[in-house]
Amino acid sequence: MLARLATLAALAATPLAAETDISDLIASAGLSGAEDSLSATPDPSPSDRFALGAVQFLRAVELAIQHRYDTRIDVPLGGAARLPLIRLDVAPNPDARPFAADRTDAALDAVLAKLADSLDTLSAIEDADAVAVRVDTGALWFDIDADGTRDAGEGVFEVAEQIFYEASAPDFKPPRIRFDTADAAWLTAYGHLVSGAVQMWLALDASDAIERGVATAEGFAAFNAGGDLGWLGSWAPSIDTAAIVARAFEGPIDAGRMATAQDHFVQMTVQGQRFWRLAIAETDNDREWIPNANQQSALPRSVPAHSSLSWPIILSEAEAMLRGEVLVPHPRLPGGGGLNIARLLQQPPAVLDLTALIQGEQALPYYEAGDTVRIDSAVRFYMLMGGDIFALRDQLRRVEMRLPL
Amino acid sequence: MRLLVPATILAIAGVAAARADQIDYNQLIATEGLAGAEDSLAALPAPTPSDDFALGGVRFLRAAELALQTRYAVNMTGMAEQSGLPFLRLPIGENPDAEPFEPAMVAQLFEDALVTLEASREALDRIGDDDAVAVVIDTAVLWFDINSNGTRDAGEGLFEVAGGDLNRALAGGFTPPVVRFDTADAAWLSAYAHLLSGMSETILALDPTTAIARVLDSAAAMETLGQGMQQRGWVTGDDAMWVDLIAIFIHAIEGQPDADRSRAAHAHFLDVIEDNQVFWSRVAAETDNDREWIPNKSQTSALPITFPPETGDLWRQVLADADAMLRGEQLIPHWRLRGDAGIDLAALMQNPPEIDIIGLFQGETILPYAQVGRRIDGQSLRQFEDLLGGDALLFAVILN
Repeated sequence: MLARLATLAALAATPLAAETDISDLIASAGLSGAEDSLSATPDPSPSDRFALGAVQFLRAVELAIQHRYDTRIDVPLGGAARLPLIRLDVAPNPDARPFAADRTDAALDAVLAKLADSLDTLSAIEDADAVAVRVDTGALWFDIDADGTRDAGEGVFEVAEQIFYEASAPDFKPPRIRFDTADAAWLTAYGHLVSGAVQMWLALDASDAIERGVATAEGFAAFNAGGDLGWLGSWAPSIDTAAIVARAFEGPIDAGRMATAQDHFVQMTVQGQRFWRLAIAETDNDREWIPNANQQSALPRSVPAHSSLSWPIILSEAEAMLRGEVLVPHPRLPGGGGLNIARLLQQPPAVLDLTALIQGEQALPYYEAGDTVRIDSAVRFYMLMGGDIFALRDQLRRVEMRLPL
Repeated sequence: MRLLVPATILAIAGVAAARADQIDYNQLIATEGLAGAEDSLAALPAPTPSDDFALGGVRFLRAAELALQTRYAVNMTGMAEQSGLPFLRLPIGENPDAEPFEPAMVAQLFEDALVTLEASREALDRIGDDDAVAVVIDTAVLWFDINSNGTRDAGEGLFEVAGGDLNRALAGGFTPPVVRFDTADAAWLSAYAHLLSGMSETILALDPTTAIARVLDSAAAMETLGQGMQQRGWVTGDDAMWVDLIAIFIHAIEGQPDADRSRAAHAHFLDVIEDNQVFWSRVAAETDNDREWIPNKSQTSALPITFPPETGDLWRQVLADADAMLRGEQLIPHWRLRGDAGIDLAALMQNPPEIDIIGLFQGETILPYAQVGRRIDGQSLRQFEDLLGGDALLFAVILN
């Protein structure tokens, strides 16, 4: 409580920050050039740090998109086309190379390194700092083909059109946003989320699962050229997707990477709660990214007013679960206890076996007596949505919108 | 043991004395049990074709008896019976003095069955087309000494143990038939021995011991854990048993099968077809009609079920399809392959892949065995089913 009051006092006492606008820099120099330029800023202000951290984050996304552009997948993958990374199929490339697990893993390591730069930069921003960074989102672009110039289809909303469906409306105007101190926490949370997801991808060797899935689909395509496989055959891409996901989860696990992923996910929940704490304390209403209950978002999609109530609760419960402070029930194991997810992620089985996990053999070593996650949390979340399933769907869409990778 | 030896000698002496007429195989089995009957028949100095058939038949039943005795000794019941696997699915009673179960016992049970079934075929293989086999068996005297006490107890009759598959057709005032097994039936029994051997080799190719051990160990640990807690898990009792059984199946099936065992199973399945073809050609040549086991068009079965006249012809077509499938001449359809391509079962069984359930369904596991060629269409099997309706499975079990 005292800490919160101190934060409020600090925010109130902070003079209006000098606004930084990085729109022109990114428009002209691209993300790579902007990063070089911002990195060279002597004695950076909190706004400068946010600008650099954001550019580094977007540069990590750009690296992933550039890798995807350079990678060809010639078979339909159904739901797998919605998997992280794979869904960044943004433009046709006649010179793209076939999907190769080793090359993708190397690209993801580069993405991780850039995300680490972003998190390092953002970590210097404290709650009492005054961040004010203006961005014309119309100026943001990804150099998909790595030719140094902005071409058609490289605008951020052209890339994100599938996720942010409003961008496809004819009268859509890219919003101008003023990022503030709370948004530094949001971006940090997001950086940890993506870093954790990429680490988990690498820990599970998901690239290999995709390579196998693609090879299988290609192998059958060679037999079935022009042939009709009937009703079940039309589900082949979806079944390939299920096989890819199951294969990724089964098999050897890189325990070091999984432990790193766990740490990232914990930090995501910590920074997410920090974001809401700072956002709730805001009293302005100026081109907000994610608004509190009294603000409006600059984005043309509303955020449910109760988000500032519901999300901190959810994040808090997620943090407790990820730290192993509350346990996850297993249907085969006694009540009054559950699986310690922290231990499962920090010391995973050498070879994960979904059958053994469900049957209980691989769950047993992670069982502890103690409090379990409350089953009613999902119900409570639903009630916070006012019992409105459409509000819940909108909330989930919003979550998805925040996940461009 | 001291009593057994003289008893066996007496039995052999009795058998030798009866040589001039016909050995009373029913008496032999009823009094000596399958083990004693086997010893007696195996010791015959100059066995007739009928003696060879009787020995082959007794050894065939002895394979089942040994499995039942192994199971009874350790109370291998609930999950084993639910597995639906040969020998394991036969119902047995509870043993109040059971010894501890060891996971390796299941594999050993099938290893033992392979040895006994091979011995059964060894006797049956001595019977040629021109030999005259005539072995009259009152099926009511057949029994398994499940509890190994040397005497026939309630629940040990053949139809009490193996009646499960036959119940539907044999229900209602069923009287165990008297059957006169003939030369054709020797080939039939050999085919059945190959079928059970092929299934045993398939099970052993998948290394069930590790799968059983890891699931039962963890199930026991979870049970122990639950005893100290106020609330049990949501999945308990029979539900937990089914979860464990499914997990055992998945763990066993997944992984790299033993290629030698897979090849042995393949050879046995081919021999099933070959022996069956011998059986049907022999049975077609029969002109008598005497308490037949499986009849030709002009005969009547001693079993209380009616074989439609077309049964033999249709079943031979089913066998021809199965033979073509086992030889890779007709391919198995897979949902991911269109009509002119399928899976080469011969290639798959000769060089089995590392199996995972997802890969089997999705297709990755079987893709290396996909070929363009004629696919088996299942029409013969459909016609067989159309002929026999709901009894098709029963007839398939009997005909093998």
